[in-house]
Amino acid sequence: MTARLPSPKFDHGYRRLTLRAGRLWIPVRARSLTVGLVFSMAILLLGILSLGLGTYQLSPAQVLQTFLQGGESLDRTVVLQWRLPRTLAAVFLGVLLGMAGAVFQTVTRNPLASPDILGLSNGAFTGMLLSIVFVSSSWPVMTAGAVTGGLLTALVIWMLAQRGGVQGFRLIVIGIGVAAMLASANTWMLLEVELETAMFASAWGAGTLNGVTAVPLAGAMLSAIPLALLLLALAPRLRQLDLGDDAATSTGARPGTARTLSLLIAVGLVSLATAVIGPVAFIALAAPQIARRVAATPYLSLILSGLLGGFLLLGSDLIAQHILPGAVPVGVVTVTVGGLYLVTTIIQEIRRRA
Amino acid sequence: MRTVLPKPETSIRARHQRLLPGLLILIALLLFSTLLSLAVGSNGLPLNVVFDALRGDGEAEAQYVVGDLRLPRTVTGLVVGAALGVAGALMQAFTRNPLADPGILGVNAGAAFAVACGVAFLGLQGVTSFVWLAFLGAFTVTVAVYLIGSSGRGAADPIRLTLAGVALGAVFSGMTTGLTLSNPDAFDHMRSWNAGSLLGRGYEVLLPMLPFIGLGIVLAFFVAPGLNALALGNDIARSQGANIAVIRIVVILAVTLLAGTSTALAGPISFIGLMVPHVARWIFGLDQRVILGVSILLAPIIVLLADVLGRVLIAPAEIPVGIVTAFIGAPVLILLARRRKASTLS
Amino acid sequence: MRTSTSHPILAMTSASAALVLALSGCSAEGTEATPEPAADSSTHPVEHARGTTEVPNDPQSVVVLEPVELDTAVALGVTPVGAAVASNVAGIPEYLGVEGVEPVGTVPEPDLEAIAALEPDLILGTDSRHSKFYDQLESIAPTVFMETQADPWQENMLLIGEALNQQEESQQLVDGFNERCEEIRDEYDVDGKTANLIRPRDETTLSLYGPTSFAGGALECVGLSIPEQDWEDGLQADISPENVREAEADYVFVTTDDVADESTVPAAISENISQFPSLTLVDTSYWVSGVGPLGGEEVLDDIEEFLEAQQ
Repeated sequence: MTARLPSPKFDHGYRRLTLRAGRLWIPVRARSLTVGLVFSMAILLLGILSLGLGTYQLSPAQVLQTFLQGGESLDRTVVLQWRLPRTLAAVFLGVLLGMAGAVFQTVTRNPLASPDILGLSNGAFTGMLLSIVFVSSSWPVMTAGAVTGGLLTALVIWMLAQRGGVQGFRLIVIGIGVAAMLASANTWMLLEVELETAMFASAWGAGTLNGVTAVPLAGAMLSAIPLALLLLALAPRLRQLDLGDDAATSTGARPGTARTLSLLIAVGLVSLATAVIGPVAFIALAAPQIARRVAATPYLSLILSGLLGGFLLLGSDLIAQHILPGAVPVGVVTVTVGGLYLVTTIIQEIRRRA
Repeated sequence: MRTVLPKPETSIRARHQRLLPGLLILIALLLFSTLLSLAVGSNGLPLNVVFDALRGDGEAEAQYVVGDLRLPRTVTGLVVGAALGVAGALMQAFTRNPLADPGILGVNAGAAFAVACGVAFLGLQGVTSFVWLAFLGAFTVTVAVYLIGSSGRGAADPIRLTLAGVALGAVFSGMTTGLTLSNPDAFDHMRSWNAGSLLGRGYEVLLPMLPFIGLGIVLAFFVAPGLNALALGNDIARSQGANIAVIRIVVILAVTLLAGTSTALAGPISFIGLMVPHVARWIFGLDQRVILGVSILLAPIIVLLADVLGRVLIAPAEIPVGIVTAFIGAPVLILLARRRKASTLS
Repeated sequence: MRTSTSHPILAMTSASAALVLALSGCSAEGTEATPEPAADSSTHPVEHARGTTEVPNDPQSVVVLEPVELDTAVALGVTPVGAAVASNVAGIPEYLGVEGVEPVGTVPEPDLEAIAALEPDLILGTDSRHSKFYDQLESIAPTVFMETQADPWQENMLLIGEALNQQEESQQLVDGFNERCEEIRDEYDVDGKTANLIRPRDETTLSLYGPTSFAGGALECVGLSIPEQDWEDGLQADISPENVREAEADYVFVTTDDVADESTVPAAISENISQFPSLTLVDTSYWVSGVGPLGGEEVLDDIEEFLEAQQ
């Protein structure tokens, strides 16, 4: 007869649950789990609502009917063909942006880090404008141009910053320089094309969910899912990075590899999102910080940041479509609201310190 | 700051030795670029015709091109360049961040929003009618940034001001985008205004703006010794008798006047405020008075050269100067950053 | 540190519930029936940029997504129920003289739900702009796409006429335009005279319009010749105010939003007015944007009026 020692009960300082599935088990913070479920429910509710709103109104019951039984044929067309891709895009791409933002902020240890800073969105816009000017303004060409532009920009910045390794300061300076040149090039091209083309390109440049169709979205999702899973696998190492390079190395995490790999994946996720809806600002910046505060975690949670990113993007799109007059791009809402969020953060922090 | 202290005499003497010839070279370059700006353009007038026109003789076409177009734009370039250079030097000293740009206080975003509103709601069309509105917008946003960044003790902390500037700048640029995307006329005007240009700003708007810029420059030189002290850290500065609160307020006022008027006049001209003080610091050292003096000379040189380049690259058309400056400034900045000895402040 | 940890969760939940409730207040009961397909049993096939589509012989409610389609439809006597507009601010152009056309979004971004709400039986669009909407539009009503708005407008007019089952009438409009050009040329003896169309863009740029542009084409149709420039695709050329002399011509037309306002003549021209003896302001809304038979007629009216005044 073997005696089994009772497993010691540690007090981690927070409530801890264990999710088991056969041999696998994952420890989870109780509060994080609750918050995650709340976010998911919020997304679901908002999603159903968004499928019903528009010039062609449907009640939530009718929306659910189209999923379950079929409903009227035009209802099905409106919900499943027109609105569903847009809603799904908002949710999923918001998730990607939230996750990428969490990675950027963890790796750079800077709560204000965001993919916009490195000039990637400028580069994507340049690529898109170039493809409109020299090739055509059809959707596949534009998105190909955007993705190429963004990735090329990241590559150029990286290469320019290489001088016996990449120094943080040098990277930032070169990023600013490249971003400035690209921004000027964009201003010039916007001046040279037809007014309508310029407005259309600017709407995309602000980040818009207009005209999202199922095929590019599906392509982006299929490419993003393996990347996101890889990122989740890297998540524990990222958390160790939070303690600083020395502590991380001493626990066996290889900071250099984990950092580079996760940054690359984050850039990839942002590029995918940008390819479908253009560069949407502030979701990557705000979602991780808000999620961290709500869930009271000492680190930035990838999943929660993602979920909140999806909720924020969907909510912003609803505001852009139904509350603001005219067809305002969702990026305008995220930038304005994001800016206000930063302002209130600053004021709160000042009050706390004063 | 260097980690290895060289013999004090040689380094200071070296810098002083560099200063006088450096200033003379800059003055010569300034004269050269002024003459270049008068002589060269998308209309290839021969030099003797240009000189005749300057003297008041010559054919009507040359008189129009040189007197009505090139002369005002040269003056605007000199004034706007000087203002941006000084504003950039102040911002970099104030925030102790060599990458600070005068636009981070929200000047550009406020001016742009005001202009967009002017076109959309007031039906304004010409650039000269935008100028005062843009000035008002720039000023208002900077005041708002100051108020947000200063609520509480420790007024005008540079970091908080920068954050507030980024945040408010985002809010206003979002609103501007929303406004222009729903109004094609506003969009058309804004895409031209955003490019930044020295043309069409006649003396009737330029002259009233000069006092503001003059005041800003005077304030800048007045506060320069205090900024030298501030560079050593708040505590040391206080122990040297610098009044930090006053210095900060004067700096913000000066930057608002300088950057606000130049954006109101010429639209957003990218990169000058960031790059020129950087180069000045690189060549001439850390004394703020020297940096200001050099910036006042160097920035107009770059603006005028960029303007001339914009005139000849796609003749008979022109590229607006605000676009060319980034392509001149950014490569210089990147080259600087790639130096082996690149450090944070020099 | 936070003193209370439950408030943020509560705040989040109530915020999302509030948002959901607020937006639910906006949603009414859904409309019931799906719109009936056109009851006409007789249709005719139209070959267009996206294949061949069966189009009703007598379309009653047409939605158009391109200015030239709107202009041509109105000229053929068909008032569309909905049209995409160039600007939400300007709306349906005034020179067309029609009422009761519902704006359905902008030309680059039409509003699909607004289109569906009008229950059209025919939709006209442009492949170069609206290609990604084709399938969704097809599910609402038979959709015909012209290749691109950059094609010669008279060719596009014929396709539109075919879609509206008025092939001969649209051909007559084209012929009528060209005949009128001939008449003007003969009446006013314009041979050998040059003309320029200038559109002031901003302080640094004046745009000249070339022979392949809409109004430039009308000027040349009438027999005036546009001096050679370095045209971009023959459409337009930009010059700086320093080179305003290159815009000189016997007759100079300057576009503006307000024909009565002389101050809209750009400074570059008004300060060199001695070089521009025959100058007139014309309306941008049809000289630049009014591509189509009715716009063309208005342009010819302006040209004729101007030539008359020169006599």
